[in-house]
Amino acid sequence: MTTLSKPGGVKYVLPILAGRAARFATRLRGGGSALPGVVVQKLAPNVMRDVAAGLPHGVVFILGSNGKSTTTNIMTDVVRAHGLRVFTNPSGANMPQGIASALLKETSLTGRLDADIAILEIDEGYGVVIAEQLRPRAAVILNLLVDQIYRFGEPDRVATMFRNIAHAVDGYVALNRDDNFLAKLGTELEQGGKHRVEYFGSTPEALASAPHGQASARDYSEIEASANGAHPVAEVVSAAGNEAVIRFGGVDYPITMPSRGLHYAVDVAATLTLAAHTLGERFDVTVALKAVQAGKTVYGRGEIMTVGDREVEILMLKNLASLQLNLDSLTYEPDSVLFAYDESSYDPSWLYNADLSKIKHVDVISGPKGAFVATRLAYEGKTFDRIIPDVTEAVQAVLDGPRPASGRHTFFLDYDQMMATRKYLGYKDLEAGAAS
Amino acid sequence: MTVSILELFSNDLALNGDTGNRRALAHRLELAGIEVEQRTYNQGDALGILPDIVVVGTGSSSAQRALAPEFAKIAEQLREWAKAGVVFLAAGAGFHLLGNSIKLDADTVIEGVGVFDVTVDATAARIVTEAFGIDGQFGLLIGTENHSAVTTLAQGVAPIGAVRNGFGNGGGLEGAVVGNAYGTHLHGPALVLNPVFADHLISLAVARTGDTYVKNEKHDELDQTIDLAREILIGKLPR
Repeated sequence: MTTLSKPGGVKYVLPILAGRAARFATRLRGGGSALPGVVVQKLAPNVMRDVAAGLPHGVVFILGSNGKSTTTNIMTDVVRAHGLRVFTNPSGANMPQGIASALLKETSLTGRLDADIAILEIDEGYGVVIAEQLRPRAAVILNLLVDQIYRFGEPDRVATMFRNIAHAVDGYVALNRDDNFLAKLGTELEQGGKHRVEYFGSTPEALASAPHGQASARDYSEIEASANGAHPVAEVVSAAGNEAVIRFGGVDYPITMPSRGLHYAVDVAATLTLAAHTLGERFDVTVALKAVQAGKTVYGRGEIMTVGDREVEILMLKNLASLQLNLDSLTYEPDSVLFAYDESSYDPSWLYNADLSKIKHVDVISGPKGAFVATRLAYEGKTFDRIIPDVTEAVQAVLDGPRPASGRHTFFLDYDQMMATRKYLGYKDLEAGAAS
Repeated sequence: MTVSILELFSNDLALNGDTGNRRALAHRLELAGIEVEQRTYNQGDALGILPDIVVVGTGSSSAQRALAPEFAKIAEQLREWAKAGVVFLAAGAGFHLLGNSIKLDADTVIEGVGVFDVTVDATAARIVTEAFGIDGQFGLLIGTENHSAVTTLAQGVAPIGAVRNGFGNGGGLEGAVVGNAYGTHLHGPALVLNPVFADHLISLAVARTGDTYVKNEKHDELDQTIDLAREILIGKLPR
C-alpha cells in the first residue's frame, strides 16, 4: 500500500509552520507537547479532518478505561507487520490537543500525512469531539471500569460517553463481551443497524482463573447483553503469567506475551478482532501473533528495566482495576516494594477496595500523596519502612539498599511518579510509544 | 463480648472504597483487644441477627434506583434496629437511601428507609470537593465529597457539623444525626481519615456490648500515619 495521502493544499502551510514554531518554542522551555496543536487548530480548524480523510485505511480508535496505550501499541505492531505505514499517538497523548500536536509533527507543509492508517488511543471524555474531527471508521472499546470517579462522577456517565463515541464511529465497533456495560452497548448498536458489531472475550475458565476477573463496573440497566457475544472473533482461552492461549477462527494459539496477565491477553484478543476487520483479506493471524510476541511493553506497564545488578519492574496503579489486575498477575512474591502516589490523583478512597494480600511489606512509600498509601497499609496491619515524598530520592534509597533475594525491585507507580522514575533511571524515550 | 459490624450491599455501595469504614472500625476495635465479627449483606442474603454497628456506603444513582426495592424489603428491620440503638454510619448513596425520599429526576422520587428524617433532591449539579472540611463535635472532619444532592433535614434533626469547605447538605450544614445513626457525604473513606469520629461510633457500640474500649500505643502509631494523610487534605482547605 503506497498510495499517497490526499494533499491538503497550500492553505495549511502557514498553520503548520506556526505549529512547528510553537512546538520548537515548547521544546526549548522543556514543557508539554499540547501547545502546537492548539496553535494549528486555531489557524486551520479543519486541518485534522482533512489530514485524516487522506488516509487510505482511515482512522481507528482505541477506547476503554484501561489498556488503551497497550492495545494501541500492540495494534500498531500488528498492522505494521502486515506492511502498512501507521501513524499513532504517543502513549497517554489521547486528548484533542495532544493528538493534534502529534499529527502535526508528522504532517507535511501541504497537509499530507505519510501513513496508510492512523491508530489512536482516545480519552473517553473527548472521544466525541475527536471523532467529529477525524471521522474514525472503526473502534474497539476494551472495558468500562470504575475509574476517575473524581472526574466522571460515576461509571454510568462513562457508559454514556462510550455510547456517544460509538455512534460517531462510521461503520465498525469491536466490544468486550465480558464487560457488563459493553455487552449491552453491543445489543443497542446491533439494533440501531448503523454499525457492524463484533466481539472479543475470555472463556469462563480464563475469567475464573484471575482472582478478581476483569473488575468490570456494574451496570444496572435492564437491557440484555448481546447474544452475538457468544461468538467472539477472538477469545482468551487461558492466561497465566506471560503464557496465554488465544482462540481465533476456531484454532487455539499458544503465545508468550511481552507482559503478564489476563488483562494483557484480553488486549491481544481485542487487537486480533480489530486488526482482522481493518486489514480484511490481508490479515494473517500468524503474522499478527508473531508481531504480538515480538512487541515491547508500553513504558511503565509491566516494563522490566535493568539497573546495575538488579531488575526494576514498573506496574501502574492508576485505578483499582489496574492495581488489582497487576497484583493478580504477579507470578512472584515481591520482596522489595516501592509504592508512589500522585498529587494529581484525587480521592484515593478506592485503595480500600483493593485486595493487597500479595504484598507483605512495603519498603518505601513515595509521591506527594504517599501518606494515603501508608494509611491504607496501616489499617491492613501491613508494615512499611519509610515515607520519602520525592520519588527520585525514594528510588535512589531503594537502589542504595540491599539487593533483594529475588534480584528484583517491584515499583507500583502512579502516572507522574512513573514518568519521573523512568527519567531518573535514564530512560528518556518518553515520546515514543513502546519502551526501549 | 464480640462487636458485630454489618456492611449493607457491599457489592453495590462501595464506589469510593466504603468497605474502608468497616475495616477502620474493626481494626481499631481489634487493636484494643476486642473481638469483632464482620458481616456483609447483599441481594439474596439473610439479614441475620441484630448487629452492633451497621455501615453502608456510596454508589451511583443507577445503583440507588436499582437497590431501592431491596432496601424496602429490609426497611422495617433497619428502622427497628435504629430505634433499638444500633449504631449506623451511612455515607453518600447509603445515607440517602436511609432517608425518607430521593428525587432522582423530574419524574422519579424513590422512597427511602426512613432511619433519617431527611429528604434528598439528587438532581442538583455534581459537587466535587477534594478537601471537604466539617467543624463540629468531632473537631475537624476531613475527607472528600462527590455527589449531586441537596439534603434537607426535617425540623429537629441535628447535622453532624458545619461545613468549613465544600457543599455538604447545602445551606452550610453537613450530614444528619438521629439517635446513634450518622449520615454523611464524607468519604475518603470517612472513618479511615477521621479517627475521632470512628472512636465515637465505637464508644456507642461498646456501650451496647459491655466491652471497654481502651486505646494503646498501636492506636497512637496508626493515628500518626493517619495524621500525615489528613495533613495533605487540611493543607488544601482555604485559609
